[in-house]
Amino acid sequence: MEPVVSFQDVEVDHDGKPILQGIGFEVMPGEIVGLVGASGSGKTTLLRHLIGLSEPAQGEIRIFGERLQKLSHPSRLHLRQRIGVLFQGGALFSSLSVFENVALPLQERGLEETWIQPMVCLALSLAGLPPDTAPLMPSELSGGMVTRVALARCLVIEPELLLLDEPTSGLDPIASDAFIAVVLNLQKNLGISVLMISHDLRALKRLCHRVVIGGEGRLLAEGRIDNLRQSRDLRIRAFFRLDEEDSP
Amino acid sequence: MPEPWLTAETLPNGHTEVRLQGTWTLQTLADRKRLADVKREISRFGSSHPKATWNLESATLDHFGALVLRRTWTRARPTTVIRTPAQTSLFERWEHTPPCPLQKTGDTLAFWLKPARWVSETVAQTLVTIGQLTLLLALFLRQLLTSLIRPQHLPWAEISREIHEIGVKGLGIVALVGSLIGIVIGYLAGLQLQGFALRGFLVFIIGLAVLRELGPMLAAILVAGRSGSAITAELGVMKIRGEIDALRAMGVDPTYRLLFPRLVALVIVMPLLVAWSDCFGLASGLGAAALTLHTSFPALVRTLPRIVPIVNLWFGVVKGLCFGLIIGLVAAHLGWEVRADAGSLGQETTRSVVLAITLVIALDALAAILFQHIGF
Repeated sequence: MEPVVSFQDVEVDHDGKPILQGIGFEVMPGEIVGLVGASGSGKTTLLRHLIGLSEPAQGEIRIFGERLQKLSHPSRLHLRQRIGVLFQGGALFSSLSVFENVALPLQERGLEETWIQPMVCLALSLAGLPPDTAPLMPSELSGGMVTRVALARCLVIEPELLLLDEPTSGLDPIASDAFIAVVLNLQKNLGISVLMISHDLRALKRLCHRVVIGGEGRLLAEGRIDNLRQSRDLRIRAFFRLDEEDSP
Repeated sequence: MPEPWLTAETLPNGHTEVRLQGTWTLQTLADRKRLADVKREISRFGSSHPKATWNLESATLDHFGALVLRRTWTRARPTTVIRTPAQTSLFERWEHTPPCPLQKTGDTLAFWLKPARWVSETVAQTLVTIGQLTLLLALFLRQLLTSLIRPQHLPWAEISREIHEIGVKGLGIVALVGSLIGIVIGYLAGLQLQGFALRGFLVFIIGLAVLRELGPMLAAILVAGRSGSAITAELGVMKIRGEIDALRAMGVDPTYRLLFPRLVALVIVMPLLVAWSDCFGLASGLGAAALTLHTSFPALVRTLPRIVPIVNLWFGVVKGLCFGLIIGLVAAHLGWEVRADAGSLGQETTRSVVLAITLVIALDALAAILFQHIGF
């Protein structure tokens, strides 16, 4: 089975200085993989490279088997239409209603309104939002609802891969749990592959099949959370010890 | 991705089976032409094989593909559909998806009362704005008095920075626009009065127009556009980012820290910019007139103080001070009104410029009527 996402020996530079080196991991179809690490460890930078907003200095990034660096601009745009990206804080357009926010990617593809409306309603429903959320403005929503609307905007394009950047940050435990339940349900029912960038260990534990830990400019470890907790590496142990303290 | 297509096959038992092949997803069906073709094909197969069994198992389907089939089948729904459990759940999800309203529900009366509501809201909003501007002015005057009693507490660094931003950086554009308007007046008036031996009248027109009206108005319009909008945007962004709340939480009065230095700077800078604009307007106006009338520029300049009373200069300068205060109050008030969305910031910044210029022109008209006997 071909991986949905594949990083092979990727090196990322900033102002000529390497900030990430030897990055290599894969996301298989239907898998939820967590990318974790301390703040500033380069998680969001990797996401930008995955969407093709930045180019790696070395190495190879493949999505759906296609080498990202070799793709032409139109091919990249076509590829992005298969990926749903949930940015930190939702990144909803404040001047558009919830419906318009979710409908935007479909309108950009030139789909007729008669098709857009049911698709938006379905996406809202899949994201666990009631239908009467549609006419609301983003300023009228709670933090948890903003994240879910952003998720609906990702889902409306029927993505094969979901990239979630800190989806539970800023959410209270109840909203966070509700979001996790929605993602689990989506993965189970639709078989979507998910790469989730987070340092919310509680969400990672509940969602991810596998976790990739970054730090000090490289990957420190990769594997199932249960296995990683047994690691002898003090940095990884410290990471999960914090988690244990957090757990009720 | 393989394109979507349909095949029809007659089975050994005599039944016909329509088989969906390829990829029936949003990726492949989003194209309008292809979507129309696919719908036509489904209808064609449906009508030519009305009792056929539809087999979806070989096709890759997503929610959009299921929606296309559901909608096209509404006219002639097949009696038997063979599908995988995953495909069945796609169709079931559509059955359980409720329609979502595009607008907030409201009653018919509310719809018809919309224009009346808009008028009443606009009137109320205007009154509220006037009230808030008055309160802001009162607050500023109180802070100014308090500061004058204890000048050592004045935020000198902020005032100095604002004077540099609003005044020094605006010198070039004010001089340029003042000169160009002076040239227009001097040239056109000179052309009209050529051959009438009305040199003194020409100097009077240029002097009065520039000192009394154009100098203050040009400076005010430029400052409202350059600095008023900047103040609104800056305060608006600070409000969105929670910086104003942070100041309040630290026990710092945001109006004194953010608003007072800008208003003081505008009150100091505007009269100076008016005088600056006057200099360039008069020089270029009289220069253009001298060229048109073939007379000496120094002679026109010497005529100016004898014909145009000096009170017009002071009148313009004082107007400039008032205009500065209006621009500052409007900009600060609307900066405070910015809500936490990108659209609001743009709207309030535009409103700031439009409202400030409108109020400046209204005050100018009022002053022209009230002080019509001064300076002639």
